[in-house]
Amino acid sequence: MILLKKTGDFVIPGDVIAKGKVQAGPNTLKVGDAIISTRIGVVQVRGGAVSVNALTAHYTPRKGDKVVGVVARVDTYGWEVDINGPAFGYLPAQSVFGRSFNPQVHDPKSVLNIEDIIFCEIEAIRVAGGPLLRVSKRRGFKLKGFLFKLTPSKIARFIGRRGSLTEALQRETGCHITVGQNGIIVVDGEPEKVMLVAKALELVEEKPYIRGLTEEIIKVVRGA
Amino acid sequence: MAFKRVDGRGPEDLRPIEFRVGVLENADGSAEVRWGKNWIIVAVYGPHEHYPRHEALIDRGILRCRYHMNPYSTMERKPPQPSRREIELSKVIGEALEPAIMLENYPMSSIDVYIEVLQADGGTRVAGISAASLALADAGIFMRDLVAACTAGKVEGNIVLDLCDEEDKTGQADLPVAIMPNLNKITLLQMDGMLTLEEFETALNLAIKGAKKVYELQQKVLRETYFKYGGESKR
Repeated sequence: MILLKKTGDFVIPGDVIAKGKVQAGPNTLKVGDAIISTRIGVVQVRGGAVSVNALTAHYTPRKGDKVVGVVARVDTYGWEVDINGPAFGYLPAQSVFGRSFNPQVHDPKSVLNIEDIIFCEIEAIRVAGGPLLRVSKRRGFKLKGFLFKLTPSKIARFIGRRGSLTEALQRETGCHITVGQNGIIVVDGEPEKVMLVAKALELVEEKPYIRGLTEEIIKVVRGA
Repeated sequence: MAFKRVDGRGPEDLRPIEFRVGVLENADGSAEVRWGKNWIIVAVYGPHEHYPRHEALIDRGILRCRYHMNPYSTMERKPPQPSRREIELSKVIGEALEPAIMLENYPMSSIDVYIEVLQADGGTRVAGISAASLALADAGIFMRDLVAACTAGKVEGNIVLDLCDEEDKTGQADLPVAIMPNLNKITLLQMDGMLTLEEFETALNLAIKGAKKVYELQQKVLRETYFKYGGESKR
């Protein structure tokens, strides 16, 4: 393995990161014996694999992701859901009605309609078409509230260590916050309190890397 | 009498070029280029669900590219509706960008690229391609490589780089070329006019050399925009 870039190096699409026997991680591509970057980002070399932490990226659905979606279309066998990805996800009616689902008896519109907000999980990434979704009937999957968008790579920052920032915001504002890994956040609460959460989101979007971000956000929320 | 270009440049000199990325807040990715007197803005939207649905491809995405010149971007007013030239350039620019984009990652989706020429002075397609490549990278689209482009041509019997509008109109040939610099592949090669085989090879090599200089500027602007604060993203 020949490393042409090291951990922390800035790369753009097309930059050769390594050559030889090395595994291509996320946001990289193997071309011949070279590993190239496919996005703007920062190199990470770990063991025998190289990857790129993208600095700008749209949401890329992965199996197991828990996402917030908005119903875009209803048909006889399920719902198409906008999950902020390249293509809509599909939630089969069986996921909601169970195995006994019968299109002649059950009407998907009786449960979910266009513009309803749901919390779901990506069950599978299909080779053809958008991702397959599923919901947890036990948890309750229909959400209400105001929708916000955050760059997906900054979601982890908004959640904080073990959910510290989100929990603190919920405590301070009394709002219920649901965070999707796809960058969609639903905030349910009084409008004035929701605006405080919106300010916090703005801060995370603009300054995700500063130290003491949690404290600064709490100060802003309390000070308002 | 020694050959002199209309603007005083040497035969292998590029016009001053300035790129900027992230200029449009509403677009998923954007870039602006000032290339000599050319002034072009590019917006990228997507990837998103493709409409009309029946045209979506189940195994790959679709790249839709629109090149448009504003009515007063040229010396004489141009009608706002797409001309035959704009329709051709939209197709040609899309085909120049497509090999660089990993469309197989975007089934059922499309990526829209809008190239708006606000001021034109020759070489707008190569400036548009270079800026569009930056806008696509700015949008986080998976790409195999950036695309850099430049023209070369024949003016008063001399092979020169980066023709301006006057040289394009009065010259004998114009050769726009676009390349993927790291993969060493040509994605656009057009010719207008007449060149001998030797002249063509000289012009092609010169255009590729010019495109590589454009690539250096593309790298520089991305580094400055995304890595201004010692590794932290400014965006």
